[in-house]
Amino acid sequence: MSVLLWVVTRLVGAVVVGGVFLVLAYSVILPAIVKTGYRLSKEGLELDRFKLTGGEQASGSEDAVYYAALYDCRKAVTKITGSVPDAVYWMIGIYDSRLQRIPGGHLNDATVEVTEGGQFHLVIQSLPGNLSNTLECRRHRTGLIIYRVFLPVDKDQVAPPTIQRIPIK
Amino acid sequence: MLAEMLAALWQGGLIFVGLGLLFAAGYGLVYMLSWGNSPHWFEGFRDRFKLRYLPDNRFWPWIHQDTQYWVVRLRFDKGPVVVEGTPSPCRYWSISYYPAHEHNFSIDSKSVRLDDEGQFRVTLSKDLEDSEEEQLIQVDRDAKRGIIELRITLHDIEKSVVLPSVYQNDELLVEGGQV
Repeated sequence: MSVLLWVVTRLVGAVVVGGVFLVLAYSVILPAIVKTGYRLSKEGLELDRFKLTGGEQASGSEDAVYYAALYDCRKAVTKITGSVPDAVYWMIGIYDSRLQRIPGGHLNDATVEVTEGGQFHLVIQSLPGNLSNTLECRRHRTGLIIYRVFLPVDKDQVAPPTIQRIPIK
Repeated sequence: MLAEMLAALWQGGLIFVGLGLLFAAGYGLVYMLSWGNSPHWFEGFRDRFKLRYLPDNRFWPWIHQDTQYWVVRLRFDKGPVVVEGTPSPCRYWSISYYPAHEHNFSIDSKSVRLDDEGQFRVTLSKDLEDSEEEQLIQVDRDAKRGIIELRITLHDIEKSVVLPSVYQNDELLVEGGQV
């Protein structure tokens, strides 16, 4: 009986320690590795503007143009404005600090509304979704934005969208 | 009581570490042995937790939800690889090789050349200079293993996905077809 008790208590201990470790690894260690990687990389992503990235970290493709930025929707709504690129396909999406996609955080040229002047206006906000041109960040308040343009007519002509951060009062 | 709990925790922690190392070693062994063993297409992101694709599993960052990532894991040290098939009906598709170091060169829906029957033939090889093939992707000369990735973006929802066949040394490695 005492042996059984010893085994059970140690297995419970293993589950507790393992659970704590896995939670830490998922919520702290992995995001820290991603963040450090970007901080040390040439991109050095920012909150208020997009930077051209090579797409290497994203296992990107040579026929695409990638721009990336950070977002933080805890105290601000992020407004993104850009010109529709002349390309076969383009998209913009948000990703959590583990570089995983976020439900409700993806728009592409088929789902975004474009003005008559050929501009798109998006917001990243934590309000409920189902709003047009909205990337919803309610479940992941901080992370990365990626703007991806495939097969542009002229890669050099793909301009980065602009970012405006509007503080939440 | 407290001492007993602490003992259970640290000894349990040791058991966790031991089991973790055992799992990691076992997974590493299965992973290494799985290269070149019955290669197959699998949809990288969506198939990643299926038991039969366990050795194929890896970290999948930057997945775009309107894109399918079909992957074959191969040994490139056994000769040039030929990917042959019909383009899937979609807005964009491309074939790339990873891990490429300089840049991730792709043959895509715009650059691909199709034959009279609407088929493409893409060759991935370490020695492009001697090749008589037309559509080539350079594989790193020191590469032993790697993956071929077929990206399909905005696929026509009314039609089936069509995967190409993969050959190595004139031998069929992976049979293509509709999914």
